[in-house]
Amino acid sequence: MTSTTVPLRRAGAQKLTELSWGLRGCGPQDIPVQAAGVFRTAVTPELALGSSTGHGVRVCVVDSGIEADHPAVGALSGCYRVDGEDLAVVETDPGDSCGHGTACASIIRQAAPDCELYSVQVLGSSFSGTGNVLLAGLRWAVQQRFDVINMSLSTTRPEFVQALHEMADDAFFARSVIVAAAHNSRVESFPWRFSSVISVGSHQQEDPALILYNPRPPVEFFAQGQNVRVGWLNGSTIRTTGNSFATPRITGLCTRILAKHPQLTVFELKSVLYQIAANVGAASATENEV
Amino acid sequence: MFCSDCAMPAPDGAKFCSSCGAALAAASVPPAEERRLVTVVFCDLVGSTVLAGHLDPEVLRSVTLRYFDLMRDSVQAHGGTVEKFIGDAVMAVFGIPQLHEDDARRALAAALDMTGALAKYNLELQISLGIELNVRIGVNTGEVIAATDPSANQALVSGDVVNVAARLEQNAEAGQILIGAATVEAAGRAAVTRAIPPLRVKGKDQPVPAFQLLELLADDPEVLRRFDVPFVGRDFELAELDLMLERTQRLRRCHLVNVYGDAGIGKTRLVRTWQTSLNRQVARLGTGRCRPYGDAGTLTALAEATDRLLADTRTATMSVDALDLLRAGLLKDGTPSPSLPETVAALSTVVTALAQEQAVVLVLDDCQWASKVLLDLLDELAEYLDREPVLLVCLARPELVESRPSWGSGRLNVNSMVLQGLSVEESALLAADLVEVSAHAGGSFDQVLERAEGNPLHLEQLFTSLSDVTGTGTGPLPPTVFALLASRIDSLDPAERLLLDLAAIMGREFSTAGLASFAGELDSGSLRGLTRRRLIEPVRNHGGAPSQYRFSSGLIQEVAYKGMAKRVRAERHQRFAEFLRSSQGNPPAQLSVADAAESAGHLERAYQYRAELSLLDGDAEQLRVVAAAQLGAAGVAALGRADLCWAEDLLTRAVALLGPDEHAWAPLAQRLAEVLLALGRRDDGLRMLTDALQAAAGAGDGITVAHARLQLAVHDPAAGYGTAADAARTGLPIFEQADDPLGLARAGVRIAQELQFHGRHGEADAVLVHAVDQAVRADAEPERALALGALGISLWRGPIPADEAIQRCQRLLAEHGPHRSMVQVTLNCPLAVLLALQGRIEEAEQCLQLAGPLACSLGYAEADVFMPLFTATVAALAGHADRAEQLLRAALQASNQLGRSGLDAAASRDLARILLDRGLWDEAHQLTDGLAPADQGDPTQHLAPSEAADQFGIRSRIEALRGNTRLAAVLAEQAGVEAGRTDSPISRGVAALDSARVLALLGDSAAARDAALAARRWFEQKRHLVGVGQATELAQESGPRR
Repeated sequence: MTSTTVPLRRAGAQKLTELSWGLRGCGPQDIPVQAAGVFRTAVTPELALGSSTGHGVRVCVVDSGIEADHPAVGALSGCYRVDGEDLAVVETDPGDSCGHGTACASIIRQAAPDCELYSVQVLGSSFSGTGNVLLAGLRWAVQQRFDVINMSLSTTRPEFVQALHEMADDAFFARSVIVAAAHNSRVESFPWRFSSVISVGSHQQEDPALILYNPRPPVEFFAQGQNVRVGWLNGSTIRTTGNSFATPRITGLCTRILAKHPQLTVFELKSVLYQIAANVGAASATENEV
Repeated sequence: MFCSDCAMPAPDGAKFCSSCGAALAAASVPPAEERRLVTVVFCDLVGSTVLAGHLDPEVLRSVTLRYFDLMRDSVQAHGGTVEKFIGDAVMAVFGIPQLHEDDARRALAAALDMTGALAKYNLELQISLGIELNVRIGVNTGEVIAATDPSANQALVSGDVVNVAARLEQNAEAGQILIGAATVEAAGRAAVTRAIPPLRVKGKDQPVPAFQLLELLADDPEVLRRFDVPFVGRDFELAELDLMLERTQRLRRCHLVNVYGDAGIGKTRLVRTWQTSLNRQVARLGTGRCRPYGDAGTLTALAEATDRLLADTRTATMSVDALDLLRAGLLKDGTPSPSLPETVAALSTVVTALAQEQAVVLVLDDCQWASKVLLDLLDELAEYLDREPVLLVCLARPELVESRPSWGSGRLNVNSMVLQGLSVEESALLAADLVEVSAHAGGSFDQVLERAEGNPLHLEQLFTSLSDVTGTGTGPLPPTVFALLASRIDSLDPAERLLLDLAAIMGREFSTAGLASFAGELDSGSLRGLTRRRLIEPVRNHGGAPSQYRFSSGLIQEVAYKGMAKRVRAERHQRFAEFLRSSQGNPPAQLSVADAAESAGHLERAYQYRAELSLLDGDAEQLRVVAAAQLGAAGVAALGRADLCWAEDLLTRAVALLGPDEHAWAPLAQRLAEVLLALGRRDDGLRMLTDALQAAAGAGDGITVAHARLQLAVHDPAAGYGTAADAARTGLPIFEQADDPLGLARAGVRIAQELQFHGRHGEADAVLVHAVDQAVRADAEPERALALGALGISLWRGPIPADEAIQRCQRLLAEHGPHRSMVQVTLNCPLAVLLALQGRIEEAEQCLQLAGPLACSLGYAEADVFMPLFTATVAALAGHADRAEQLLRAALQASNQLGRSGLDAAASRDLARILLDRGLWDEAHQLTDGLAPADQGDPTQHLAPSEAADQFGIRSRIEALRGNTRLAAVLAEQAGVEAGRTDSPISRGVAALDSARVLALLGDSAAARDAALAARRWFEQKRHLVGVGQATELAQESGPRR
């Protein structure tokens, strides 16, 4: 990727101190990162991705469901929903309560065309749901050992945090990578806030291929989430904005990497993402020697 | 003036309508019909016929009359109106004549009281007559049309909501209260209900959801509001309350703090949060709350506060007399018994005793509902306690200032704060906690935040009802919020109300001059009254009287608007459109898009309301045709300004008002089709274009036919109208004869594109310069941008040297670019590449950074393909092959989604070249193999010479890497031949460079060096410095070793 480091601009330096949740007013040039010494031989996108299309990787979208036969999504490998009464996960016909899950699925399909897409519905028609249903859906997805789990949603409620945290850790050790959207506002919510998941926000560039690493987490990666064309209800597409739509972009990328390197653990995968982020450059030899 | 009954115009001063004969109302009297959100209660006796058989008619009559009295009393006690008695049934309405913010709750309370009152009466009846009465009750909430003329005997409520209320009642069992879903929502969390199976109701397709009322909880904010979510913001106000308490303690003087704010803004929550933060050692607290109505004593709020003050206090040291007096009056039932002076004296004695140990804080909430007696008492109490550390905190809506302007005045140590709405950030924080789990889509969330305007109650209610499937937060207002705002509007006097209604027709913002003309005259007192009540506010006030006002909230405008009957809205929209047209002065052709769209929109709504009410007479017909014409003109003007989304909206509305058999339909449909095509909705666009062509042909509309054919040829080569250039040549004489600059500009562009296809960029240049002039004359930005963009391509690909081409591009940008986003996009893209040719990468990237966001914001679907394509070209010229590769793959994906082949062939070839530079011939082969049979047959039948040269060049390099040396050499030569057909030095240079690479791979160093030097000459001619560098390097590599 970028083999030279970009000098830090003064304006960028000013903004950098505020950087954390988002990239408001900052571009990739404002957050250059020098990779640490061990990463001197950088992993290139070519090495990480090659011509991978995500073939054979199982991706689960924990969301509002996915519409059947949507032209931007294509074939689904399985659709499930959480029963609101007994919290059991049951197989169901494809369908989306509000369009949000279909939107996420369409981006994943675009980024990793040959992956296997699964859906577990935990959100209702108002883009919202309950914590217990979310926990049930995620627990099931982790138990199914999906390779990648996309979660463009979160909860602020403390009563669900402990259970979510345990599930995120279980997934981490079971090599299921949870890719979770950061809150659009400066709000602490979960699971994106855990370090065992890959958290995603939106950058402001109109570039679907551009991935940035945030040197000042909690949000770790940024992808395109502004004014994105996505699949929506009734076979349509719309343009929309939100971290919800940057997240499946990273999900797609993880899927492609895992298709090429199926043996990667979650922490290895996160390192690869870090190294192929556009703003991360190999450190100069002199600095490494210091 | 217009008749309020039939909406027909009538001469000024007429007493009766000449169309329908109705009496004409004077201008200042509001219409006697309104749309209102009301709650209807039906209550009927069960088994009354059996009863009638058992009782003497005289006894029966007295029993029934008593029953009616009891029911009426229950209704009236809660502020409802008995609309009528039907047999043994009582129909009551809450919300007429006066609206209350809690009408739904009042209706439920009344329903429960009705059953309670009957139970008591039954005890009497059982003893005296041995019988028992039973009732069943139905309650429903919704919008009705109500005659609100106070002189009428009955409110004459009608509408679906009444029928459903009656059905609910009929389905209830004896003693049961069944309520509708809207009532459940409007009553909020205080109504404890149980869902029963939905009811089948005659005349309704869908079953009606129904609930049984089990219990009505107290109207305590703790129950009704979401105090479970974290408290947000208000640091300044909390600090101010702390400061006031500190002053109270330090100075040992009584202080009064008034906390003002609109309903739902967070007064109660603020003070509760502050109270919780207080150390109990610091101050003793008592809180109470005033009620809007009810059977409690007038001092109940103060009684509650005092009771809580005394709750955990040792009263041994206090005056026994004072305590006894309070316990017998104020604390017993909230009354000033035995007298007001004695109550004040006793209370001040008790509070003074308490204040000796620590400061006392008395909080009284909802003081806008406080009686005069209570406020007088508080005033007096503050006098008594002047030298004690007592802090009185009064929370009130701004109405308190209205009803009691003297409140707090004439006293020292008074402080007032006004709570404003939460900031956007604070609202977002609050909203995040309102639902357990939420998706992180930006759109609907942001829309709700915007709509709630920082009011936490509105935020809660809007988020609760956010279920619109379109994913927007703009659905119907929750009944709770609606009722709150409607009751504020309902309390206006008729003149103020009329002004507010007219303003609501005009829009969120309105000028006083406009309102004065619209209303006939403008009463400045009413305007001030509306401002004082915070319904409207002045804007842009540069000293002097404000000339422009706006609704202080979009929701207030919405509620005022919805309060008008549709017939009234229709009449007012039409009148306002006529006023706009007459005041705009300019002929329609010279109006701005916004002005044209505004008056057209009012006519459209006037027509739609008449259509909804089936008032379709000759006038309505005229309204429809004029509205369509004006919307169409505004849409065409928006298209001319390159605002695709606006144009789509306006033209869709215009076309919808007309039928295909009308003459005006085809030209508007043809323009709409163009917009749809530009937005990437190809199938819809082509279908509409074909329909427009047929309709225009039938109507003998030659110009529309020529335009439609040209567009079809451009967008659907298989449609049978030849190439775009063919259609352009066919249309040219028609456009010339009609002197249609738009047609001339379009035809010019298509003819020039054909020249470009054949690699004749020099000739294309001249045609395009003329096309730009015509586009300017037509004031059509898309055509201007298209012609300029095409010109940019010829400057890039054609013979003009890069540095001169850059200068010309920059001159064109300076001339045509300012304030034209599309031109910025179409010229900056080729300019970026030209700059990159010269190695001026930073400038090139600046051009792209300017163009990219503009392209997306304009809504052009193709932007997803061409932006990464241009960006990749620049990246490749800058030597960033990895980035170029990523971008090209993205362009290909986007192109696949759009279903176009033209751009993805270009992207595939560019990508293949990057792969070939790395020796990856296999994937390069896969990418380009399907594009055209370059190694079989004659590719020129499918490809332009420049494309064929590109394709041959790539294939020759693939074959060379594969080891097919002879084929590679032949293909390289063919590439040179194809490039030679063009006047493009870049095509020729690239072909020569390809040839040099192939020859080098084949081991013919001398020939490779010659070819590289030839390439360098072409690149030098173009002043393509990057190419010159590459060619020089290759020549050096191929030269004899030193």
